Amino acid sequence: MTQPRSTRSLQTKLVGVVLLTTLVSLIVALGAMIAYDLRAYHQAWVSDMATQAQLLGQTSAPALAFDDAKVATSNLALLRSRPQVRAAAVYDERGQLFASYSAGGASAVLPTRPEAQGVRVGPRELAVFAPVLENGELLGTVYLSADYELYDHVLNYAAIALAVLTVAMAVAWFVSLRLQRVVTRPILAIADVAREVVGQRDYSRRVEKLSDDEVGTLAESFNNMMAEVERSALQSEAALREVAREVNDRRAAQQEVMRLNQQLELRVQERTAQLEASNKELVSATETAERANRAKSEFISSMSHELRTPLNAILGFGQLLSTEGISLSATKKAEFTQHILKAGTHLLSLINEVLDLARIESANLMLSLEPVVLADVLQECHTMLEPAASQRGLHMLFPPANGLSVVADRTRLKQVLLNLLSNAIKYNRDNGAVVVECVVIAGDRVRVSVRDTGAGLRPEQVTALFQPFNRLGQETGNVEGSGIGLVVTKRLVELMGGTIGVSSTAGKGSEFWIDLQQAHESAVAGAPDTDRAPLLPHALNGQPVMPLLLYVEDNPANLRLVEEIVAFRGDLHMLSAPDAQLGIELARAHLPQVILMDINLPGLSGTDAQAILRNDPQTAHIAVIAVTANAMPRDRAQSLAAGFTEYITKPINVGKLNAAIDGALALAERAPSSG
Amino acid sequence: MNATGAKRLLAGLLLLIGVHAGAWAQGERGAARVAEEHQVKAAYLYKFLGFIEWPPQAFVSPEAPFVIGVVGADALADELARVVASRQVNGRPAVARKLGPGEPPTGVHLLFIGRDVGPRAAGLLAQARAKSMLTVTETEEAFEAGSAINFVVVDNKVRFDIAPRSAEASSLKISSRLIGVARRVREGVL
Repeated sequence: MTQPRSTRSLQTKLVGVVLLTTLVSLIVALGAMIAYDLRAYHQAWVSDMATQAQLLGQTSAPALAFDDAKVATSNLALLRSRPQVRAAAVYDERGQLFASYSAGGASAVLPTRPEAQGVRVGPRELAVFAPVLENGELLGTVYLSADYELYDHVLNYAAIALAVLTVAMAVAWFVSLRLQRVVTRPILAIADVAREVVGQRDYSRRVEKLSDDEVGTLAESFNNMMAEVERSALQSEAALREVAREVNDRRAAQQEVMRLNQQLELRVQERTAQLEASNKELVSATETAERANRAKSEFISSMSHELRTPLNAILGFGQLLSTEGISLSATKKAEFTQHILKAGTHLLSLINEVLDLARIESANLMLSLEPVVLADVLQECHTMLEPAASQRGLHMLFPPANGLSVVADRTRLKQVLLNLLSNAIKYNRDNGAVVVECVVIAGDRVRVSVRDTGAGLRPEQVTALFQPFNRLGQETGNVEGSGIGLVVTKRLVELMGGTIGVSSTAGKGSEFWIDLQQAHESAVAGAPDTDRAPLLPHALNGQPVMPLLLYVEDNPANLRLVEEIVAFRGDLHMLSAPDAQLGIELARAHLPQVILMDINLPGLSGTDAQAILRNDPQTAHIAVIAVTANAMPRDRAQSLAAGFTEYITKPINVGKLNAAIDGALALAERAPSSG
Repeated sequence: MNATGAKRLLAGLLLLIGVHAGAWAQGERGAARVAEEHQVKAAYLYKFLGFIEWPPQAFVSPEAPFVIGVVGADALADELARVVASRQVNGRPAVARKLGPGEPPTGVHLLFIGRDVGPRAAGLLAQARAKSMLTVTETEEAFEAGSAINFVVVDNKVRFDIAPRSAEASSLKISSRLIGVARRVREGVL
């Protein structure tokens, strides 16, 4: 196991501190000792040599005094016992060399003259000059030259110091290596635990407290800190989990937002697609509208032609009848009148068809759906169309009464069937056949089909068959038609919840069919149609006073027609007023049983006049019948709601008018007249 | 004076002259400075005073001077008087006194008996022995007769022999340092 650098550094530092301290101490101690010793050596040696010189001087004094050089030389020779003394000499009082000595027999270099007394220290040599005094007189000078071994001592001491240093440092290193463990072991234990904590994220680890000193305090503090860290770590973990949960929530929310975005995009795409579809529909609708507009323009011109044609007959024969000076036989007159009636009827049917189409297009057509017995309606149609079929030698084949009922508006169903049957008659070949069938088909529906033996239709004609104002090339043909019959028929069938279809083979004939919801309830029999009720004079009922009828009308021709009709009835007196104001005054004056009221009058309208009459107690009971060219159902409904007894549209159907008058008279009879 | 003595004296003189002439060859008064035998002996006599211990009763007072009596050597006495002038030894001044023939050496601490005294020296030595008086001679005969110190000339240098017993007989102590430079020490007893 390799020691980490930090702990190794700690150990190294401790050892280094100990070694450095030891080194410094040793150097200071050894240096002081060496300095002291060298100084002592120096002083002792100098003192020794000075004493030696003085002794020598004292010894040599008699020899000098009595000029005995031999004695002086022998005195100097005593220095042999001091091998450190290299050379010695005695000078007499005049400075002349008197005696000399040289160690080892070698001749030493001696100063030729004595120098001033004292000690001279050279690098390797100590020279002493000492005076020789006897009885206060200077007899001469003694010279001593000795080894001065200070530098040898320095070298010796240096060697010794080096050896001591080496040994001491080695011992100190060894001891400190052992002793530093006492200090570092607890610290290293803390460091190990700290490293493990960092490595393993285990904050539950604790350090064993090995001592009560500062390191022990450190271990204790470390443990406290670890407890704190552990608590913080737990809190952080909890906070992290919280954050992670929030992040997940946010991610979920974001996914939700993205999902909603995708849905939104989907919806936008759908809407876009819908818009595009709508645009396409709009385009197609626009095209359809434009086509319809074109067709309408064509229709208007065609209509003009179609309207002029019967008018031509009416006006032409009318002129012939009214021309004076031309004597006409009764037969001729009857024939002309018949032509006029026929043309007028055709004109009326044209106008009615146009009105129907307008109502359907403006969605103003009111239908009352109810169970209708098919056999009854077919019988009525058969009766009505039989003459026309017979004229062309056609054979009409109707199904036997089978009791089938359908949900339909009786009047409109009859209109539809009449349209289909009259087409089958009109566009059939002579001596052909018209076959009608009634069958129950799937979906609880009843199919009524009308098959002819005409020229048939080409496929492209079939597709254009139900488009408005299209007469399939018959516009210039000899067959009368408005080109809107099938269109009205188709709309009516659809309004009654049914469908219409056609299958055709060119050259063999066509088959038109309608499907309607079957009705299971008992159907009520239709009221007898009064359209073609025979125009018969009412028999006089022998009333002493004939009822009075007031007609308010500004158009003289209409007034004249009604006068003729009333005269023809023979059971009524009649008054007339050209405007509403006069009509009201006449009504108040004469209190008629029935009032026929035109709506579009100059000044006060017919509707306002009726309101005034009804609000007048004197006239409130009088039945008021509207006679107007306003054929729209809305006008009719409004008028009936306003209190009109009946609503008769122009051109006047004589039968209907008579029926309305009869109804009003019956009402007046039941209600006792105040007048 | 016999012939040998004369030759010896002459030789010593020549030697001295030679030695000192070598030493002071460059001196302008070289010849004048050559020490003569009596001069050297006069200096020695004065220097002997520092190596001899007299008994205290030999002096009348602590400041009493050393008295050096000279017999039979007038030149030496004169020289000695010059040497001791204004000098002190061990706190005492020194005085040189010339003694005539037959004059008793009274109050003398050191008595030099010159060569010229001859046989009378023995009498003088006998007189001196009873007193605390150092006797110095310059002949073998006189030394044999009992002087304490006797000058000799060896190799043209003035040396001396010492007889410590003779000094002790006069209640005098001769320093061993002085004995150390003596040419010969005579141990015999008179």
